[in-house]
Amino acid sequence: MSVEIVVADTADVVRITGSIDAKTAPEIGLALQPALGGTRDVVVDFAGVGYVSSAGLRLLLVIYRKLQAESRRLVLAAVKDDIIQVMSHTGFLPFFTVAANESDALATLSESR
Amino acid sequence: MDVRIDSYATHDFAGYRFRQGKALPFGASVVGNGVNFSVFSSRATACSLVLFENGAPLPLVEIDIPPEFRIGDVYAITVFDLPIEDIEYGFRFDGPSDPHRGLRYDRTRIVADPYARVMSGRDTWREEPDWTNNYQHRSRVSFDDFDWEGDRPLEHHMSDLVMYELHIRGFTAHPSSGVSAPGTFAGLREKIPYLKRLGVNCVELLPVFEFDEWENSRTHPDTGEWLGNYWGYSTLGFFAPKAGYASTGRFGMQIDELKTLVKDLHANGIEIILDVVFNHTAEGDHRGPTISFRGIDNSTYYMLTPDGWYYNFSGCGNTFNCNHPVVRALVVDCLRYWAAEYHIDGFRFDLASILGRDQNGAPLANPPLLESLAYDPILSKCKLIAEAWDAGGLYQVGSFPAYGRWAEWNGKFRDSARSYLRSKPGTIGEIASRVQGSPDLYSSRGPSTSVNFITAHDGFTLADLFAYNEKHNDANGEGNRDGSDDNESWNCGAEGPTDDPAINALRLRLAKNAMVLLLFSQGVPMLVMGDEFGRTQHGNNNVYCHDNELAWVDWTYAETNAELFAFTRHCIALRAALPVVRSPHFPNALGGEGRDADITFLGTDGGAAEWAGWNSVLAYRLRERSYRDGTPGDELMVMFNMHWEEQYFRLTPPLDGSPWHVLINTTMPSGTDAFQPLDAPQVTGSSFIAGPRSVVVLISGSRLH
Repeated sequence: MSVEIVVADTADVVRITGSIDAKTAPEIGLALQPALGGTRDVVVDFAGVGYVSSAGLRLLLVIYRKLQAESRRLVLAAVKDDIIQVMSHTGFLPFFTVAANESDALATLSESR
Repeated sequence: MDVRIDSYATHDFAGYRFRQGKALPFGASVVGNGVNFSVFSSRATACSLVLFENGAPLPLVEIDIPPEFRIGDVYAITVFDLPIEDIEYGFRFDGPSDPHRGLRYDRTRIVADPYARVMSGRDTWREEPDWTNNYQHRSRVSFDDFDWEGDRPLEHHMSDLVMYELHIRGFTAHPSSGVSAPGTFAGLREKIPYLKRLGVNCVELLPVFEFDEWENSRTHPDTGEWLGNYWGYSTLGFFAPKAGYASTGRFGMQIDELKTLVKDLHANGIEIILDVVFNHTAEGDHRGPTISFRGIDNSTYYMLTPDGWYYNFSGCGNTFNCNHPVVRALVVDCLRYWAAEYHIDGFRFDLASILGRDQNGAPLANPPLLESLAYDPILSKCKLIAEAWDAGGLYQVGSFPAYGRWAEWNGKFRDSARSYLRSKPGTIGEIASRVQGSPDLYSSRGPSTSVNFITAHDGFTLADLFAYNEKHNDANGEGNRDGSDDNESWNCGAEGPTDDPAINALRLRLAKNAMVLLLFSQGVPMLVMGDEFGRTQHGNNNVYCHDNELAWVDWTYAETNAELFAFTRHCIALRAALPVVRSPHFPNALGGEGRDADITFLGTDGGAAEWAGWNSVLAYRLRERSYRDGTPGDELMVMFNMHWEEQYFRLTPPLDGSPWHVLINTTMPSGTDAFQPLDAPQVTGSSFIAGPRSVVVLISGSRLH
């Protein structure tokens, strides 16, 4: 598992590689601090994520709720279809804005504000 | 730094750190950086906690729970730093094996937690298990958090419900369902728009507690068909949703998937009632497997004979000892959990009369469990519906201990409705009670006590009720011996499918008549999935073992039988529009023709009704209670002509002096067989001819404008 944070023009982009599960969620939470602690919108790039467990979905929802409380936006980019389906069936999907890839995600954020 | 004293270990073993746990709550609970495990056993001499990596054949570790951790009969341990998503757990008990004294401890078995909120082992429906695994049904730690976004149970009034009984797998497993995850909670969620279009506002799910579809599985010798436990009336764990019913069960996310279904149903105004099976468990009799209860505290959890055999009031090998105080508490805890954590709106109790038996099987006058459920603070707004009989001969329809709270599956409605619909002589008096909500059975409790149904999952479908005289259960592989022989069905002149247009027209008309009888009777109507468009089981009246097209809804019928669907939809909409047919009070039949009577039964000549056994014509005028104080409201004239010849009814004018209009006439072809009030055509003249075996409903009142 690795987390890379890139400061783009319109948002902070977080690129996660690996699984997001009960084991990695605490580490990912810590690694996200620089982005979450700021004031900008956040894009999480899932291109390198193969699996999100129950705990992983909870981490995402907690992040969403934190950003929402601060009037910041979160966009998930490049989420694989099977993960989208799991998120849909477990009710997590409607909370999130989803984009096909990182640049679409950034475009969404710059257009709609 | 964590300043809770109990977040630090006092013991360790093989790298696992732990301390004395908390006795309450029972089961596995996440507490800070640890998991607390608590389990009851009154006769064990020792208990160990067994932890597995998910799916591994051998344990990761087995921690003997130190004797000093036991308080009373409860073993409790908190283990720290467990990777909760990656482990399964169970218990191993030491204790006496003395079956004739009711003791069946077995140190070689690992047993599941009776309070397990997630169970693994059958994560994907019908995926063949590893039979060499010696711990088949494993307990797992759950996440109990969920973002409900303000949802809570809907609390519809009982009298406003239109219930729809369905099987999670059968509802959408057929390829024609068109859903993305057939046969799952997510699949049902995709069908919510359909349920709204139909108009039902409550679904009742066949059992969704974890069960083993492989229980007693076999292959039919002639057809080669896989037969197993499809219905699921055989619980492994009362707190765990069936993993195989979740498209995400293989990831252990069945809780989230089911809660998402509940949340979406509620957002669409649809309640959810669970069919719960507390009368027995999947462990069977003395020959059955040791899965959980038997190996934990056999004589507490089961009703036993004095020499240690299993009483069998359930017909399934054992009987859950529901009025033992410990078992009673488990049932109450369980239902509180489903109501509080899943926002479930109500429960239908399978073979509920067993819940009113004492520990020796004798019926109790004042059963503590039923009383506890009736007065429980968390369950106080939940619907409680009893299947008020059991397989031990106790039949309590009309006399189930109710405490002002319990409703009943009214088996007598089913029986008399079927008899009447096929024009059986001598049924006229009883059906007159049934359309009023069965005041003969529930005089002190009100019509909402009566859950009215003509068909249920168990028995013929509505289409088959009028297409078969006999059951045809050969596909079950039991020589057609299983299933009820007493179906009160009528094939209309040919057994099974026929090309005869007259027979097919009659069958369709009888199905429409049945829908009117069901949806215009006081009480709470319940339909079965697919009956609204004539689903067939080809004469099989007991499809408990079929996971195939015999038991699934074939959605192409929605088009081929669009006429029945449209008619049913009309009837449901009329019920919603007309409070007079779903009153919370019994209609007052006294007072004769005057305004004091809410219902007046009439003969075809407009005079007094004929109650002789040969008569198969029932007609009545039903009016809103407001008429009692002189305020006009809705008034209906309902004419059931179950005679094989047409009947000429002389009409008397409505109380408000306005003309009658036609809501329903099952003799008429599609498009003119049912109307909503604003479209209802006016009756001209002072008589009405009801065709052979037909139903007519007329209305007068302000809703017509």
